[in-house]
Amino acid sequence: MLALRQWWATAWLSGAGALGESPLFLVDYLLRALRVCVLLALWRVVLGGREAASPMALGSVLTYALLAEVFADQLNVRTTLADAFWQGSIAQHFLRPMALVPQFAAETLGGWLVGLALFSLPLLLAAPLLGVDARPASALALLAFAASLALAICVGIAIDFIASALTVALEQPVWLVQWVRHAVAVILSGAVVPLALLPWGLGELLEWLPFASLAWAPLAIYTGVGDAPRLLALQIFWTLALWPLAGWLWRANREKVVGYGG
Amino acid sequence: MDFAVSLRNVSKVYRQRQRSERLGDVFRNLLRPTVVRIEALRGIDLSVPRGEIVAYAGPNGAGKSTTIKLLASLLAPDSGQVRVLGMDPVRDRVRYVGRIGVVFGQRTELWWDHPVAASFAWKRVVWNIGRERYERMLGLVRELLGLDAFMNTLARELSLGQRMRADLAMALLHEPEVLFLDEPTLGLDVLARRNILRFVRDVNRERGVTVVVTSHDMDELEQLAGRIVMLHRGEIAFDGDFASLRRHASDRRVFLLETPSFASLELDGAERTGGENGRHEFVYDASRVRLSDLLEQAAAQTQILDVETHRAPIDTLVADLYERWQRERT
Amino acid sequence: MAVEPGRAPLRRLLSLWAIYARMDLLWVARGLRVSVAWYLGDLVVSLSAVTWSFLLAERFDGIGTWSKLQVVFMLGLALAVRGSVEFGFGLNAAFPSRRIGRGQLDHMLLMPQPLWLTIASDGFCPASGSGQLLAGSAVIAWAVHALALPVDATWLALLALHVFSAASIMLAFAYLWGSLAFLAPRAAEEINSSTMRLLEQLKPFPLDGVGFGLTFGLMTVVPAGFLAWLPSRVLLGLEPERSAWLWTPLAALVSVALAAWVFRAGLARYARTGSTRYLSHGFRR
Repeated sequence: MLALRQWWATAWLSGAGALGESPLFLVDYLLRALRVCVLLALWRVVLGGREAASPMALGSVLTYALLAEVFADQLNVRTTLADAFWQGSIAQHFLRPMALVPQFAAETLGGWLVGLALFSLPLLLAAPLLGVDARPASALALLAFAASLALAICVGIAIDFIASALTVALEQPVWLVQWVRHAVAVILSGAVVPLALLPWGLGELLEWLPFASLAWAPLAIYTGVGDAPRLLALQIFWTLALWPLAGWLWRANREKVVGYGG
Repeated sequence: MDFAVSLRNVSKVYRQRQRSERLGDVFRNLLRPTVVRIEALRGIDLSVPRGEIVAYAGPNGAGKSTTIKLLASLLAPDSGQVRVLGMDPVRDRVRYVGRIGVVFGQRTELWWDHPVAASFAWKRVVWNIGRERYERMLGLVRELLGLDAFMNTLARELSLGQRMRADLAMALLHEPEVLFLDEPTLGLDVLARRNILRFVRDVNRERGVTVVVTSHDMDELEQLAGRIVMLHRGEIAFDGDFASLRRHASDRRVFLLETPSFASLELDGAERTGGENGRHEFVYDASRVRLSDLLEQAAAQTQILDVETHRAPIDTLVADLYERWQRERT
Repeated sequence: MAVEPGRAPLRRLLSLWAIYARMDLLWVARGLRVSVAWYLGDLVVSLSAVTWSFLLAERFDGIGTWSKLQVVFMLGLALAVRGSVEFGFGLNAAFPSRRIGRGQLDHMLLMPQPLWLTIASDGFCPASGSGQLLAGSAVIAWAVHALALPVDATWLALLALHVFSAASIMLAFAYLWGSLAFLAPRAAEEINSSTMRLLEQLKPFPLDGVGFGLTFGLMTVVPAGFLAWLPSRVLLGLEPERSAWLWTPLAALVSVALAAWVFRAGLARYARTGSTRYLSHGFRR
């Protein structure tokens, strides 16, 4: 119970802080909404008249693209760990009577609450206005998607911790590692382009990598274009493989981690 | 008289958002926030002659940092006039900042991922300091502040004391006529503080640099400046020398008695603050109680072996003053 | 007095570029491992910005009415434009909302030179920021060769003009939106991350076939169309309108003027309110 209370108090404070001191934080959501509208139009141009050559129907691609934006924060997890390194406040997290992972998970999830309420849900509800059928492929697909999304978040947090530990170990600026990580994830995770649409059989290859577990797996399950049991199994595999690696990297660099940033 | 710094009826108001953490309030506050008006400065009149060192003090929130920001061209007053070296800091900013130096204790101007020498070389170019002048000033600050040991050290790897010395040196490379120091010894050990204070006094004495310095350390300000200006709730509550400040604050004195008896002494008009084994420490207000009366009381109770008196530390007096102000407010 | 502002600003700009270039080189060359990691990372980031457009063009043998090679040319131009911004405006000079939101504007105001000179110089990172520009130039060169485009001095001048104009539009967009940080430093601190991401994701796409409304929006409200698509149409000779070569430069002039006006209004407000927030991260690092 204590752990739950600690977790909730941390998540709540993080979420309330995300509201900021002004409604101007909504501008970010406006820009994201604008981007998704343009991306949907661009997909119509890319696939217009080329559906026969595409392994995914236009409708599925549009659903995929919309859901990728609705759950953008969850499909490419970026915890508050990078900010803590950047501000040199990582040491303070060690002074709290909470394990590190729950702390950062709580802060991250708290920050998501506002986005889910004020952006994700309205965007999902506005799907018909954008000409997108946002319904899942089936009820079973929806259930599998929920499980897959939870696993995607687990894998995402593990990758985030690994990236941060590598930042410290390699003595690189935090922002450089975050850039690279984001850039790699964008291509390899299927967050922007469904892996099925990649040429040269790249998609089949990338499916086996951990990044595909972040976005491709849950979105492919939702739209019914992916093999749900196989994708879920891969996600479970990567969860079990990456967490111990993250733990080992952190233990190996603990002293450096505490002092990072000042 | 030639004034380096002149503030005429300067006022500055901030608007501060207030926010509660209750769920019901969070959304309401976002759309209709509660805004509190804070009068950081109220009709400040202050003149600093050239070549003077002025200590600028006051409790937290009195308006010290706001004043420094106004003088450093970072803020414009809401009303009144600010002139430094005859210039309007905001309107004449580019010309103006070439003639002043500013050191903020909580911020650095050094380039974090570069050695100190690189930051100095950068400064030479950006401030367009002539080569000869730069070499001369660099030699001076290196010697006086002992920078040789870490000129090639990255700024992020400097200790706080080293960083402050480097920041101070950097602020002086272009030979400013006025120096603004906002808490320059924050977090420094006693030796580092002493070195910084000595350096600032030397720079003022030898080069005639006018200095306005803020700090919470009253001892430090007393060592540095002949004049102290105290702010209270945005207004100047005191402007004079430290001796006058002592009289204005209170004339608290410390008085120590040595007696053969270990029994505790009670003196009417003095507050016992410590002591043991025949040594008794008292504090009293010399403006209301005479030392002779206290000695008479003590002598009536026991034999006196030794007596020692001295003034209460300035920090204690100023703390009393702040407390008095707080009481007056409530 | 140390500085004489207003005297020979161009010469002053060059001397500032020289010192910043030197510092940038020293920073990126501070260790072999660090340098390799930096350039590799930069390469990954550069390629990722355009990879997915390239992959789609490869998969579907072009995008819309554009052939694969034409798409590649456009991607090279997109890289070169972003690379120009990285080259000249690193260290968050292209992310003004961060500097303003973190209270770091004070550092710029304490420098004895006009603010425009500071903005134009203190992000100059030719050593660490050249990756995308070089990559973009290489891709353009390859595409030009593959397309057998007739290249002469006029064409090269046109290319330089369009890259410069598109980069100016990108920066103007950043300063326009970044000025929101004057109103809400904390809420708008990362607004430039969002605006940059918006432009980055939308610019590597040909807009032919997209509806008029959307095209208009992408040439005005979100000027992604000027960053690679329209310049590519001009440079590839796809644009029938003879005066089309002027459109991007004109858009640049209008964008910069608008951004400057908004930014100055924000600065006037800043002079009254200052910043009660100060975060050192990202400043001169």
